[in-house]
Amino acid sequence: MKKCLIALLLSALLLFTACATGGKIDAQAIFAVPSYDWGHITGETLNIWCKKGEMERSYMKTAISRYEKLTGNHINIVEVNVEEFDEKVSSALNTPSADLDILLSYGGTNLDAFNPDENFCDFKNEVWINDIMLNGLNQAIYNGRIVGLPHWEASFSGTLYNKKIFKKYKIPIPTTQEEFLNACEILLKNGVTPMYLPYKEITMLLYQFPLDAVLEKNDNLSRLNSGAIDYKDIPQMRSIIEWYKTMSDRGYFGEDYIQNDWNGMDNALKSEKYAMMLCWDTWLYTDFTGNANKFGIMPAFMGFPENGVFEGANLSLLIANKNGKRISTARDFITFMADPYNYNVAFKDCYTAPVFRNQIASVSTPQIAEQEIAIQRLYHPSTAWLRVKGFSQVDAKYIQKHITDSNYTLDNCIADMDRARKERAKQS
Amino acid sequence: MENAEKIAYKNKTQKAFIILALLIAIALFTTVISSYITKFEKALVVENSNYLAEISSQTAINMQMMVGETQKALEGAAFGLCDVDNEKRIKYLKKLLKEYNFEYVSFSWPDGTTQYTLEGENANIKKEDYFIEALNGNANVKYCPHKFFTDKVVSALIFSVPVYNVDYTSPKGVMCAMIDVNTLKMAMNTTSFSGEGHTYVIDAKGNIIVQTKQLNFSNLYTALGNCTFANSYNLNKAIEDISTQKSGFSIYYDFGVEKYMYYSYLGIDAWSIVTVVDKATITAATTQLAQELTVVAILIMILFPILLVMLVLSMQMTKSQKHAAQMKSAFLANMSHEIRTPMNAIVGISEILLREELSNKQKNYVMNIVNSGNGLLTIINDVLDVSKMESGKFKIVDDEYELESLIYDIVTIMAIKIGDKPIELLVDLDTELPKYIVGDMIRVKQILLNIMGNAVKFTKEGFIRLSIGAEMENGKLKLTVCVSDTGIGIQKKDLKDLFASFSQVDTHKNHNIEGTGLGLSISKNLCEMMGGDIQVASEYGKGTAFTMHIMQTITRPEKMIYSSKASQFHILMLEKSLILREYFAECMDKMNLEYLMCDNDDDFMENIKKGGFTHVFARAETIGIISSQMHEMPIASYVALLGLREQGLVENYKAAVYVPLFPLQMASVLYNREKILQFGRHMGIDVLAIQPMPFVKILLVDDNEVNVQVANGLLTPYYMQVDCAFSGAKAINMIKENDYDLVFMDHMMPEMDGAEAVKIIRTLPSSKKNVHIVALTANITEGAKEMFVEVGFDDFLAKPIETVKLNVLLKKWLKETNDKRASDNPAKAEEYHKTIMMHQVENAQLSNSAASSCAFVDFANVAKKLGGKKAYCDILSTYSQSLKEKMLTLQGWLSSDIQRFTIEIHGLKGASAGVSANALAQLAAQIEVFASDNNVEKVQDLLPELFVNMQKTLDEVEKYIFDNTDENAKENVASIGKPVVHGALSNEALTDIKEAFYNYDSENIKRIIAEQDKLLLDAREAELLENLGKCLNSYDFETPLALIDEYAKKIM
Repeated sequence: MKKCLIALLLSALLLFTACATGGKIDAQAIFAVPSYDWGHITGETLNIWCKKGEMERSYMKTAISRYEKLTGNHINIVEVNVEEFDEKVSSALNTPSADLDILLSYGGTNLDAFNPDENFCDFKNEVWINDIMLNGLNQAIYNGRIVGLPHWEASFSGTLYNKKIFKKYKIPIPTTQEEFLNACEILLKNGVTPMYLPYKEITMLLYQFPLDAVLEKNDNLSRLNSGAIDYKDIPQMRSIIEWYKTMSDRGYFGEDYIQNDWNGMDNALKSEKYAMMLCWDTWLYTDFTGNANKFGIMPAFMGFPENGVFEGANLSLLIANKNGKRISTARDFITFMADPYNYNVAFKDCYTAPVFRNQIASVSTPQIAEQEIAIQRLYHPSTAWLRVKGFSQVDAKYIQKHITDSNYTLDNCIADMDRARKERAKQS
Repeated sequence: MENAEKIAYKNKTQKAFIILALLIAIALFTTVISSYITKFEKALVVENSNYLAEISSQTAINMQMMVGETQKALEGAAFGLCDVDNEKRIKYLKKLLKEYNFEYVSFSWPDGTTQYTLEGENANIKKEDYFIEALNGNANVKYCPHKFFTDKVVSALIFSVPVYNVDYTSPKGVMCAMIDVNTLKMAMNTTSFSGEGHTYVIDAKGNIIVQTKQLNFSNLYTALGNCTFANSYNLNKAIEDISTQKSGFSIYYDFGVEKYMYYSYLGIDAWSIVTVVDKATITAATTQLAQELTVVAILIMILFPILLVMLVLSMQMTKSQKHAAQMKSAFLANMSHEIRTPMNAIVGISEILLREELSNKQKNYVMNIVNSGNGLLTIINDVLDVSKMESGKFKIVDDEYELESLIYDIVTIMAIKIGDKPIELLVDLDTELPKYIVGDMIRVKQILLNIMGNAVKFTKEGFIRLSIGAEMENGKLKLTVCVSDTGIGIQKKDLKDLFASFSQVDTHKNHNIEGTGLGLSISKNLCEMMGGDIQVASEYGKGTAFTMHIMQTITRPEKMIYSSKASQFHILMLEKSLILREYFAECMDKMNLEYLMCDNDDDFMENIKKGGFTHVFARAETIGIISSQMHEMPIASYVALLGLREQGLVENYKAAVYVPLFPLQMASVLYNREKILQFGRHMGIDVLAIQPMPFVKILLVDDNEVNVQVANGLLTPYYMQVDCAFSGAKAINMIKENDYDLVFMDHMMPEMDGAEAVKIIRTLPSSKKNVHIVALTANITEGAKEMFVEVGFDDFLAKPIETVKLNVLLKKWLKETNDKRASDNPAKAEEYHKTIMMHQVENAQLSNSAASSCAFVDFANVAKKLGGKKAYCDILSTYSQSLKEKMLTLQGWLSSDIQRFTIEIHGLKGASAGVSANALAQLAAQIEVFASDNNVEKVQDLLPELFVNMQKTLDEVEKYIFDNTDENAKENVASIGKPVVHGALSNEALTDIKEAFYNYDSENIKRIIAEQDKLLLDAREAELLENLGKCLNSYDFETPLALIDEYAKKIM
């Protein structure tokens, strides 16, 4: 009898396993042969310049290794310190002997220092253009030209929240700014600190999220870049900065939040002392050591827009130096990287939203799947970071000063942010 | 020992038998449950495949509309661009950009150089297809997978339209505008199957253009390449169907997951739309049901012995309940048929009768029949509604409607219901109400008619107020509708049961009020089905207020009440009724209007003279008086306020406002917008609007001759060739012998019913069997149409036949055939056309003549009765004189001597009835009642209406006299009634004269009086004859009867 029972249980387990794996797509079977023409050049060494550590990502390593194996070419990684990146890359682009074939860099204003029109190939007419999601293409466009192949992991940013805590206190997922503040109040009254703000990690203030939505309206972006308007002329900018102060004054960031830093993020969410954090979905799978399934993602409610905002990913691009010595090989390499036959191997089981339309081997986070419709509605592409001349997340230091120094007014804060942005734009 | 073995054996056998019985029971039970689940699942799949098709079609329509409207808007804008000079062009383009949310708008010269709204964009487009097409004069929509701008890439639709020179000869350039293709997502239903159904728009190659859910592939065909299709279908067939622009449903398996797919052609740039949903989503409910049923089955097996006993008992108990339920259903079905069939005859024939030339009186009678018939149908419908609600078959059907139209219909119907009751109907509207609403208008109207109908029933005097407000709640429009009245009210103890079915508040006050008691129950259910509720507050003896909340949606931003720059208007208003003064003031306050309200003539006239008003509002008769002195008055617009019973007069005034619709019509008058004069819209079909179809031949089949007569009558305006048959068998023979284009077949007939007849017809040779057959039936229950289609009918028409539905049906099945035959045979068509035109002209003349007698005086009718036109004209001239005198004196009598006023008004009543000025007679009768009770206030209220009516009657009478008589005749009439005292009145003479008065026989009266004149009469007799003569002169036919009786008593 016991044997029968065990056999029955085993059968059930096998059946369950079969069902659970039954829906998985085999990318290698579907893209069993190359889709594009590449690999005719062999025996060459390509130099890829990048910021230190950026080629360490698993999918990049897999792709490079596969390229070397399938083409017989060799890839030489030239790592540059972040602080010296602009200067050294500019210099290399102007010195043919420097051997810069491929550059790995973010797009938009990050490329301003490199004279992209003169130095980088335009891929607008490449066969793989139609396979890149629009979000990716928007990262790669510079002055009307597609200057690189977006080949990076993609995430969606918003507010990560602990589902269990929200359920426990019967708090509905907010849909407006007011509902968000009400949710914070309920959490606070129940002894849960509403939001973890890694204050010391200045780039994590993320004021670009709501700013992206602002810049989509009324030609704000072009007028800001042309100097026709400043931050001070954008009324929503005041709401955004005041949001930090409101959150701070009402205690929604907790008591001693100025000590919070990047390293505390993991523990803050794991301990369940905090209910929310501004972040991106893939963080839950790359950095978080707790149970990611307990968390969902909702829009970031940061004073504007009224229904909140999801922000898109920033993708690094593989850019070909059109004046480089091995331009044909460089282009061949980029076609290789754009082929679903290859990128599906590189991104296999990586947590990322698809950058390519046929990217079927990677895994979208369940948080994004749950919020797909809301994301479609409230998504704003990364604009401030990519397109605003002189923009820097570091300018959040003026916001920090405003929320901690009562003598430092909102007008002072905005004026300083304008000044810093314009000075930086002038330099570039 | 042997016995013990036998007993043991017997026990074993019994046990085995019981176990076997249990196993059989379990197997049977499982089979039944399984078959039920399978059947249920199949039905659900069919239904959901239809739903998929609906969603797909709806999305396609939405997208086509969105693209079509954008293109139209751009064409309009291009038209405007003709006159815009170079400097202002970019401003104009930017305005369009903002207004329509385009990505960019541009203007290109013929050489392709282009001016963009995008900063820094200057690409030349002369080689682009869409530019070349538009430059050749053809508007164009082009999909562009990637449009590269300076700092962004968009997947877009580019619209291009030609821009012409001012002389419109050749395009002077091209205007282009681009929308992000994601904008089309707005048109895609993302919430189908609770958000689990997904829609994709694909191009001819299967590339995904727009999607509601991210797919793992950029090409749908690639994605489907990994799937297996069911029912011998495959990917190649799917691709072929989609690329040849077909629509269809298929099932496929994606890694073992069964999915349903529906595809249809979109009609934009060779795009198709594909909707996909997991089978599991559709059958989730059934799976759960199956699991629950399995658990129940196991429980039943465990408790089988106990349940078996209980089941037997319960079966016996429920048998009677089932029988009752069956009886109820049968009763409802029978009632539906048995009452609706005769109602068909009653209402149908009445409607036909109304098309004939009838007197006012006859029309009133017939209208009463129609109204009563419709009332009875309402009761039947109420009962059926409740039955449907109880069985969960009742459905709310949302569609866009105009709130204004709903209010007009309600007011019109309520005005008729209120009739002569001294009740003011007030409509109070929130100025923020939208013009267009999406909801089930028929059901909203049903609720309002129920509640307001009750208000009319239970209110004797005072007012009934309909207030409508709206606010947005969770993205939906929450309509708040309040109906308050000054009726008898409801006692607190009755309030709790008010909304229960068949509940009527039983008070001594309403024992004679009709109703099924279902109206409020239905209204409550309807409110709840529309996401709202209904509440009631009442003070016994003082009035009741029902407040309803209904959730609707809005798709367009237009407001119903137009208001802008209200401060430009300065309004003066005269209104003597306190209720109405307060109502008007409230409405005008809401519209932020400046106004001065007067409650008496002196103040009013004084303020008019002072001037400074843009608009002057007063009751119709006052406006009439002012109009005659217009040259002395300051410049202003003079607007007549028309009371509840005066809506028919609205056409007579240049500017008029019908009081119950004050907020709507006030805005129209002030802002010179469309003059809203229509009442009772959507209330039937204009006979002249019917398209004759003389080339088609139809067969009417019904065992009931009256029904055939009704249908035949309703078909008359179509000038078709109509044959009739009174049985199914006869119909089959006639179809064999003739070629019919359509057969109307009654469903229920003795011997051979409609369904049997259709079955046989469908077996006839091909030239006969394909005839279109429409079921005529009183069975309007849910699913009736499907049932008829299933047995072979092509369509169905409910009895009583509604003319609008009949018209739609005939157009659907016969118009094309008729038009084709007409075009094939132009000579015959011309001949038919002439004949029909002649008929229509004749009918129009008849209608006009009927219309003339429908006004204030029924001349045609009374002329016959009074012995011809000449005599009638004589009488009318006296009557008109009397009217003029009374118009001058009545107000004075009312102020000084109510008794004399009563006598005068009594005389007016009799005289008016005598000349068939029926409306005036009725109004005078109403005033007489109030005057008899010394109720001066009520009389005062009605007096203005009386004067308007008298003036209208007088105008008509004078016109009639002018057209039909001469001066000599008038003189003859004037000479009647000079008494000469010579002799005694005989009893016979008295009887004759009384009879003549009774019959309005003026010729005989004159003859008798003339004969008596020759006799020697005493003073009393002479006085009597004199008074009778006076009465005749003033055309009072009632007073003489009393005078003669009084005289007869005295001389006895």
